[in-house]
Amino acid sequence: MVRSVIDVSGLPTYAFGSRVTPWWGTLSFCLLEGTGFALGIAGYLYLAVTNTHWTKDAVHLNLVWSALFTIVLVVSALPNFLIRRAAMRESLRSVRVLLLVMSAVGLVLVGLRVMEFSALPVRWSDNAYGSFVWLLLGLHGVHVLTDVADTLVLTVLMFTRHGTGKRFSDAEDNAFYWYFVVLSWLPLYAVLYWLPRL
Amino acid sequence: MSPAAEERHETRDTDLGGEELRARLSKTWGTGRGLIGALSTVDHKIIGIRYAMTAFAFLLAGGIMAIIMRLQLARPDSHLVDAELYNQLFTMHGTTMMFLFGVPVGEAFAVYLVPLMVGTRNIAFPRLNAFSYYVYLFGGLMLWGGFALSIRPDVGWFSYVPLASLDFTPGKGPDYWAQMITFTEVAALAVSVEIVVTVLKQRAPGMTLDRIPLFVWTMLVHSFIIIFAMPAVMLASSMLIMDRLVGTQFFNADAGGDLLLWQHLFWFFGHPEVYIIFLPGTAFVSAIVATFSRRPIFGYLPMVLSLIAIGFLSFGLWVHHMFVTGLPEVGAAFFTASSMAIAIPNGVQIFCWIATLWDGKPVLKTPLIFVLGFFFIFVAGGLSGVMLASVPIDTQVHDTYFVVAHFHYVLIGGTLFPLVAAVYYWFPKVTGRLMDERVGKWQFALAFIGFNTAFFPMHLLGLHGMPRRVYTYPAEMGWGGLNLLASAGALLFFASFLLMLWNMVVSARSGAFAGDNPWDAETLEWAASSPPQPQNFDRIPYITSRSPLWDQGDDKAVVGGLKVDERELVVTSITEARPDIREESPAPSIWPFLAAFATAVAFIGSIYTPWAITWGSPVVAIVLVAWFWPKTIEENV
Amino acid sequence: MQNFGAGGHPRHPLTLWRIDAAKQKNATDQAEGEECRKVKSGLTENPHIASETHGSVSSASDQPNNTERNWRVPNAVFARFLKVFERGAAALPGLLGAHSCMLVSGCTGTQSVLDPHGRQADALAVLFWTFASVLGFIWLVTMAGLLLALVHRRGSPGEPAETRPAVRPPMQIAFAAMLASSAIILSGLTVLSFGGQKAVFRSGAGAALTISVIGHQWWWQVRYEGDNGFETANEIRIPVGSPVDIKLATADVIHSFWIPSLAGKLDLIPGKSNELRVEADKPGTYRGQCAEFCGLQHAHMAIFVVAMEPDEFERWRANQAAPARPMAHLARQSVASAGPPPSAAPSESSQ
Ligand code: HEM
Ligand SMILES: [Cu+2]
Ligand SMILES: [Cu+2]
Repeated sequence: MVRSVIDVSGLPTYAFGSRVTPWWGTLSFCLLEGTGFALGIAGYLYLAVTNTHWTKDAVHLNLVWSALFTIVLVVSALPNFLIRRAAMRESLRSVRVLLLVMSAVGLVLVGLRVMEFSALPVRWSDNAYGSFVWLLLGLHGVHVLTDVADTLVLTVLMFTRHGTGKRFSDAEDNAFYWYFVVLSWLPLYAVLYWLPRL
Repeated sequence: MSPAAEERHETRDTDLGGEELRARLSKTWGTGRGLIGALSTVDHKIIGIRYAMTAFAFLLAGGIMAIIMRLQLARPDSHLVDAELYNQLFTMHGTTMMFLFGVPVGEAFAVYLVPLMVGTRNIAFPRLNAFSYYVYLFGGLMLWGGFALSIRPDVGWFSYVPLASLDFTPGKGPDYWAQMITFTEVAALAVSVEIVVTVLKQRAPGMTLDRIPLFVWTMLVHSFIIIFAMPAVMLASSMLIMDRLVGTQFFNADAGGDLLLWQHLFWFFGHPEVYIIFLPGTAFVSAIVATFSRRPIFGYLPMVLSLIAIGFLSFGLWVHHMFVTGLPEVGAAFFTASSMAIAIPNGVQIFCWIATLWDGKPVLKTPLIFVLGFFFIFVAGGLSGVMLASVPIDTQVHDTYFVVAHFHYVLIGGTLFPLVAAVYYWFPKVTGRLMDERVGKWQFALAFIGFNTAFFPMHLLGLHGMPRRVYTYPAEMGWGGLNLLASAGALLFFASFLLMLWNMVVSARSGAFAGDNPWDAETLEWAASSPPQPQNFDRIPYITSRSPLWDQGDDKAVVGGLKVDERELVVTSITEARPDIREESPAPSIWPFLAAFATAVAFIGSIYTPWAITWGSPVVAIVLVAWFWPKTIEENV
Repeated sequence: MQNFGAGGHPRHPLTLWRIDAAKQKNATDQAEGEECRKVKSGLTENPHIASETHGSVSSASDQPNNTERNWRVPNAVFARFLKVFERGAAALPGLLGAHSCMLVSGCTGTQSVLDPHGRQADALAVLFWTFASVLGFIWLVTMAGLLLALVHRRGSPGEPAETRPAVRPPMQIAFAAMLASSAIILSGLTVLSFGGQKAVFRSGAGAALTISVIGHQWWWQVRYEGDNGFETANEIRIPVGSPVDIKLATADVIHSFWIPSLAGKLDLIPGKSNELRVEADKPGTYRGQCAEFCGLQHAHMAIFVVAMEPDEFERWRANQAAPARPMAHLARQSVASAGPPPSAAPSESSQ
């Protein structure tokens, strides 16, 4: 005897936040990438504590570009917040404008990260300290780069005929991931730029 | 859009029934024809089968390596293979077994079974799933292709530095090894994310948290362990390859690096890895014990809690692989205690299974017989593990054949025996035909005797001072007799697998027809046809019990209202599994395959020049954009 | 791109001779007959060693003199436990037919966890047998439970059983009992393990002698420190009955120093210094082998520890230190399969 007890035909085909599967997918990726960052930092600290060379090797890093990078990154959380809100309201016009803003901010950040690298006083091959600085900065740089690329593609999409419905959910998801990019930078910034100065 | 199309798109499963519904759905969810169709498929069942067959092929390859090693060790001072080849053999054997067989085979079963068991039509992120399979395949082919071309890693499956550094191992072997790690871990991580989301968000309506089958719980915990463990080895292997290729100094003690850092990172992954390989085995055991005792597993809650406990504890044990590196005494003692502690949740599981058998009246079919073999062997391996947890004892048996015996007891007893059981158990679901019982029992006899003959003597060899990873030993050591015995056992054990392969081939063509539920089991995969339709279920079941097929009887409560001509599935809430969204599940696409190919080219190229990453990344990016670019606009209607 | 497609590894010219050395050594091992005779004749000059290596078969089972050993274990429970256990355990290895080495001549020296001849290895063997018995018992109980679970209902009618949910109070009591007893047993084992760890690794009073061992691919350089320092290769001589500290360092990759009959193993790690204490309680030749994979000839990286009576040891040491050639030559000969060829490492460098 087959008996239909629930009718789902009235349910929506997309939603926002933790109701949809991509949000959980993104969260899972944040978890595993966050683990990667945490282990990277742990490795850095392990060497800092156990290695006798470290105090000699750990030269102070230039604070100018990194400070700019950090400020722009943290401030970008605001348009990011607005995007999420606009996306959930499905307001195409604001989403378009804000995505343009975020794309621009993203490109600026990529430029700042390049400057950060060029201002490093130590090369990756000089010593283990240098290797770690490059690794951690690079690892985070890759995250910035991927999300900026994703934002650019999404921006283009939103200006085409695809800019409807489920795309808003994608925009919201993209904004969610950006929070992770911002948050994961803060401990890295503290460890890389300030810890050796203590 | 034309009115006809409009109408077609609005057909719901409530409007149709019987054969017509089935045919329409299987057209919607089907896989295209031809090579392009095959490479574009996103059907979790097809990909699961590919995963499993690839993993079995690697098992066979790794097994052949093992047999050659055992032939070499059968006699003292043997010259069948030389030191160089022997070192390559155990490295390939260990690496293949751990990364190309152990982890993927668990995923294969998860990918195939979890969507069926939770009552959904496809895995979450099916294109990512296809991508992960190809990445895994390319990683394995790269390692073995390199082996054929004499680019052979030979520093063991954990590639300790500085032996694995450029100074001591100049060839490309360790680079291939390290890149293979990246490939397989990317694949494993992707699958884990899919499983987590499938279990959390795609369960059939009504399948509340406490109605999730134990098999699925186990795979959920398994996936979380992967998510937290695998980044460590990816980080470590990337650091190693950077040390080798671009001159970083992570593991160079002379330039402020640290050798133990490698060991810490590797074993932070490496111990959970053991549970990553072992947990799918326990998932099979839970399913099989319940079915053949005709009882739900005793102590559902303790079982779930011990799974979660194992998940957490498995991250607190890694240092027990480093007891002989000369760690501070207190630190080492802590890890003794934590390693002892994990025996408790394992004990709880063993108890619950035996209690279930006790309460029922077990039907001794081949799957259950192999599970009994699992108890015999795995419990012994677990208990010898308790010995290794003790720092002082470990200083004697670490890196000896005692340890080789121990981990084969755990890995083969804990994973391979349940795996064979699982093959016999789910074969009828996958092919529609039963495997031969008589051959199955012969296979068990061969495997059980062969295994114990091969590996029990290794405990003694280790205690008599035989270190692992030695390509030969002098006759005066007196190890010849036990080694000969071990080698004979290994041959028997290997033969048992050939018997299984034969049984599979013959049964797939001429085995008895199975019907949907040949074992009268309790979980949802047995409600689908054998083999299942592309859409898994014609109607999404509505769940009111932990053992739906036993308790819900003929009253088939279902969920109605999904579109028939689109790939729609029900997304539910996390705890209550209330239906929430009709989400579109991605259609077949060739891009995941192309993306995996581009990634593989970039990774392999990077072994020869770092610029491969620079040039490869934009290509991969373009392919990814093509992958995600929406193809239609109707999907939003 | 070096080495693409080629089977052989381009090697350091420096490492080439080592491979040769190891091969040569391998050949030496094979020519055992002749070699053995040589060794025995060397050993008979030292009656204690000779009798010990040949007599090691029975030493574990028929020597009640173990009790006269002074344990000085801080953990009193562990100490008492050791004594009680010792007598029973001493017989076990023999029972298992475990002594591979004794089936053949004393040529290779003893190399077995189950045939301890030193303070550390004794304690470890006791600990091992304790664990083995307790855990073996648990295994038996589990298997008995499994067997009963399978058969206790065989006779009852109805095949297969009807499905029904499983909730039964007696089983819950059994569950609680299992949980409690496994927690207790594991805690007990953990405490024993801690006790054993203290007993084995406690450095205690200063060692009478400190020796440096430096691992090389694939041989052992042994350095006796002090004013009259000297070096040997693949051979360590120590006095019986007094603690010896062995400083472990490596010249290349990670190795692991392991003389099973004397003590547990400890790694030699670049950039890290480790120290292992051993104390032989009987004269004899104890073989050991590198226990951490260290490259091509890892299988051939053996080392011998010769434990001698203190006065004899002093004489030997004095001879080594003095630039007296003939005696030193004799000493080298008396050890089975000397390591690298003379050109490689000086077996006796007096200056
Ligand atoms: C036909 C069955 C098998 C036989 C005869 C066998 C035999 C062996 C032998 C002889 C070694 C090398 C010991 C040494 O030289 O140190 C070894 C190592 C190893 N085996 Fe197996 N094995 C078998 C199956 C498996 C399976 C199914 C797994 C895992 C799922 C596995 C995992 C390993 C690992 C991880 C190592 C260590 C490799 C290393 O030292 O780097 N083996 N096995
Ligand atoms: Cu070595
Ligand atoms: Cu070695």
